[in-house]
Amino acid sequence: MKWTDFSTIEDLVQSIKTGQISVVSIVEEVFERIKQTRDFQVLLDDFEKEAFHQAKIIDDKVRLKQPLGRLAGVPFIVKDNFLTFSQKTTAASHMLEKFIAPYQATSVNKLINEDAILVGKANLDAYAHGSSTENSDFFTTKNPYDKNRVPGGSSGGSAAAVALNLVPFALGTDTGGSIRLPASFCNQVGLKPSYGLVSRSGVVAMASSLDCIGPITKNVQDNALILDIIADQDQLDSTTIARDKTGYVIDSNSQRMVEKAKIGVISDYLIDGIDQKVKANFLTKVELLKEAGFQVEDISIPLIKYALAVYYIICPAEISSNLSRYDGLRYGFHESNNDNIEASVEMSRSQGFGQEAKRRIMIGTYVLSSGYYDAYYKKAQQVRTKLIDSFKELFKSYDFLVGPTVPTLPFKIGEKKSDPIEMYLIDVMTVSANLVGIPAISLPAGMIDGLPTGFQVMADISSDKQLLAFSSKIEELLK
Amino acid sequence: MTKNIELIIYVVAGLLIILAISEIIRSVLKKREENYQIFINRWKGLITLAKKKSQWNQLVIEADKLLGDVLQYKHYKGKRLADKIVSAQRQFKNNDQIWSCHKLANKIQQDGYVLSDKQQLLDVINSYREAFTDLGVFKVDKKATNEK
Repeated sequence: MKWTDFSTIEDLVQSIKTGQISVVSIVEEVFERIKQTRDFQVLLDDFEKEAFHQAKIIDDKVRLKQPLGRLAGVPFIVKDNFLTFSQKTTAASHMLEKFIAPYQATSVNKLINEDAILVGKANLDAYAHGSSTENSDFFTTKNPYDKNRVPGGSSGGSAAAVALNLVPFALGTDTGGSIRLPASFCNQVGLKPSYGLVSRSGVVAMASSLDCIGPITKNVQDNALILDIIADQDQLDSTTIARDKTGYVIDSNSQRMVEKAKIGVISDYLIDGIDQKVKANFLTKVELLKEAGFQVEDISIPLIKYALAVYYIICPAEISSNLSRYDGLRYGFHESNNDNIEASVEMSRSQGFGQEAKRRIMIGTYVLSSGYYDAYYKKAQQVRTKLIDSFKELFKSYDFLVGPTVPTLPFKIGEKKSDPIEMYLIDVMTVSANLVGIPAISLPAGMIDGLPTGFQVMADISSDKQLLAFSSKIEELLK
Repeated sequence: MTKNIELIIYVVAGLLIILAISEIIRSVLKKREENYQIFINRWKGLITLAKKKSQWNQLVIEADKLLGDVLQYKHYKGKRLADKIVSAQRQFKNNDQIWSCHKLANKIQQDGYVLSDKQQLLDVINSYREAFTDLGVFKVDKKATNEK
């Protein structure tokens, strides 16, 4: 019996707890798969020795009939921008190539406290800057469905790990679509929860007003289970918000709540720059929702066309601020110049940062500089507020808003790398949820020419439970 | 004559019962030793974390978890580990030390505290070792857990 024989994490844990399947055998299977799929360049590091040690502990607990956590023996992977004890956290950057964190991310602690087993850390675009993992300072991960194409990003390694059956779930971070986009390109379920629902303590910061942590899983039920475990207020992250009192696990009650949901189709996403096959596939799925009895209407958000521009002002501004801590003096890459501290900092930063990080630092410092601040950053924040108001207004009439996750199919490695603007356009359908702070999920929506495509659903802030319940109701329809 | 036969039967039956009881006790003790060995192996594993400073925090957290599992195995009541420590307090020669270790583990997990003082680490290791000895998992002799 293998872990992949179980359709949900809950079933797997049940079998582990009753001794039907040993955790050591699961970990053996995981590392066998990791070895078989090395070509895809998914992981930056794996922890075979530590994972087997933990597996034996859990098997012993089963034998001693001791109480076990809700994820007993379930292997998982995190994106390499989550701090973990005793293993390197590189954020796929040369700057942090040798960095070992002195503490562990709250979300990782929560999973380990439920007896889940961390088996490795996944590749990403350096500092999560990118949409394809091509910006990783080490290597590009390959799409599990076509080795010549990208897995999406920045959580490309996490999504590919789940798609390649290395683990049943992985954690990613989403600043402008970095969970949903790779989930779409790798045919998995990727959730960006409401802003502040999951603690970001111990995660390498990108843009602090946008960053969210979320799970990538094979199905919505597993996604809800992981969110239920990691979502909570945390005194180490002052932006965290209260969790839903009833939790996030999907039950018949929550599904009944969304039976007569009113859905708005964001028509602005279907006008320009969308691949016609993706559009046709999306519209077919919308028809299926209508047939299933949901009330579906086309809606328009005039301001949404500015979302990407606003995002690429606010995000680099926050990035330039967050990356200023890497001076090469306290930790991270250091190029020494004994005579002059300033020259040392300059050398460390210019050699430690990759091209994309430098590009974003330059844009960020530019939009924040005096004289330009009002014209760019302040204006962007004003438009952001108006965008938040537009979504608030819409959620008075609609329960969920839907659209494609990505305007294109997974593109070829190298296809967009030379043109950053074209790469930024990939995020056009995902950034709004981050700017507004609402939860959004990407669900597998079938294959086009052998490549996966995604269906995005958004809900009002703190309606994560309803979003998951609705998603579980429609996930089979969409496949 | 019949009385003698009855007496012999009673004696044999008594002996059999004594044998059976001693066998049961022996197997229970053996099982307990085997289970204790599981905890001892875990302790040996986590002690190796002391070699690297970056793993000291993890060592404290793992030791605290091990304490929780031992108390659970010995059926001390309580929902949280803190409650179980209260239930077992009479077992510990130095209850305050255990509390300070448990509080330190919580501080590491919840407040992001970073353990960097070697003496503090050694005190923590000694306190947990003493606790496991008090609970009967470790023999008094340090060699039993292969520690240096």
